[in-house]
Amino acid sequence: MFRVKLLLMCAMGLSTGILAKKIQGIAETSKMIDHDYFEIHVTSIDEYKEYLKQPISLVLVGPQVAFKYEEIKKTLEKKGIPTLLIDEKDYGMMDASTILKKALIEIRNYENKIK
Amino acid sequence: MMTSLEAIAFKIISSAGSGKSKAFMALTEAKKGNFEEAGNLLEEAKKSIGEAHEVHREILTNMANGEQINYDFLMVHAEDHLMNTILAKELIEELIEVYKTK
Repeated sequence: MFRVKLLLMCAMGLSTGILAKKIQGIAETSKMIDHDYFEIHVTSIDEYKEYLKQPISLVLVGPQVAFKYEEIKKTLEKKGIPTLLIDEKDYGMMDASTILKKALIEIRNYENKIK
Repeated sequence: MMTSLEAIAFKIISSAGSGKSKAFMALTEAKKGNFEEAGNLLEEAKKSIGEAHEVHREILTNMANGEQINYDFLMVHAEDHLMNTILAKELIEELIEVYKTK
């Protein structure tokens, strides 16, 4: 069972908002996810630091801001939060289930790494 | 279910977005003096932008042929991404030339 809170980030938070709705829908029907704990937030590249005051399991970064990914990753690493760059194809297809699956794998990998 | 227009908008956002990212990465490399890598990234950027442009042109062609299109805010947003990206790429190309002659 996964206890996850996700944060999605893109340039303005608009298209990612639609993706977040789709991921939410899939998460609600998934047996692998603790539904009471699950949360998904959307933010923009300029405002994401505001969200770090609350517990976040993984930050997903949209391909529109890939050029800032290394910088974001470094900032978040210091706070102990893993990051994942959303694949351009997955994003373009709005493939929420694949994106969620990859996110869960990344969270598991990160947990195993810090153990 | 994803409507086709939503799918098109996301294809544009994703390709244009990734193109913009690569163009900026090219600029970062040029700043460091790695012009070969910058050139490669710029080519990748052009390819991504081309994909977005292609999809966009298709809608315009359909519209020109009289097809009714339910234009929504998401598509406006997608165009916003595409136009920003094209401008960024043009400027970055110029900037890289400036770095080269520095």
